[in-house]
Amino acid sequence: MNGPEDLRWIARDDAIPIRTLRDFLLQALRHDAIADVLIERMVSRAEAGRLDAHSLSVLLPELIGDVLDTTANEDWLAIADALIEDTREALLEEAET
Amino acid sequence: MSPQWIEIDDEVMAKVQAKAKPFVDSPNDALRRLLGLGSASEASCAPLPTAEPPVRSTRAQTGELLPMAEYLLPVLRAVSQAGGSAWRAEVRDAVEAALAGRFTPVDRAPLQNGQIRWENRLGFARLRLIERGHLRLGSRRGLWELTDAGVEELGRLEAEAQKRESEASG
Repeated sequence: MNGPEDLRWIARDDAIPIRTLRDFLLQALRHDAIADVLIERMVSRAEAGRLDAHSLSVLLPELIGDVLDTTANEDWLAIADALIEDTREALLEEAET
Repeated sequence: MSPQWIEIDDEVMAKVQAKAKPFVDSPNDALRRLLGLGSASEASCAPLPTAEPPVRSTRAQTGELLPMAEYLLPVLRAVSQAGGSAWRAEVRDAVEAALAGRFTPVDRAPLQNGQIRWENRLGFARLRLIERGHLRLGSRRGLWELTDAGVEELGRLEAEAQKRESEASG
């Protein structure tokens, strides 16, 4: 179990537990946008006899970064619209109940 | 300077051994000679890396998992029923529905990374189907596409399944 010192700092008063951070990364890597490519790359490396943690650890952030690099402003706007709509409804439901 | 631990391949090791004085040189001494460096004044070899605690294997035993071959028909069927191409999530749902009664407890258990084992194996099933030419290595992430050979394979697997069912019932 991680102790209180196992943190990565986002800002002076904002930290993320390493356990939470790694879970976030694993979930991103398991997402449909990455999962198939990750398996392809890992099996390819395994068959070539060069599946090791060091080289894979370089590939993994690239896989996540590649997806993030494709985002356009319209993607973030669409997500923002959906989040705002959900939040408005949640606030109304909260007021009604 | 503190010693460092490195790995070298067999070819380099053979060269180092050929240049070493038996029972006198350490590998570091031989490498220093090869590189034209003087003799080392301090300990010439790094200590062996500290043994890490063994990672507990979660590898399933034979017979504990639904065989990979059992994934192929539901995958091909799901993609076909979606019109020849299906999103990964659609295939996952269809496979789960088709194999729900056949997954073992080990199939349903999470791996060390938290992913459910059968969902991980589904990804490998896709890869095997691509290798056999039954699914296309698509350019769209998350979209699984059937090939003509995959349509033929689906027909063959469906016929096999029907035959098994009729044998079992008759």
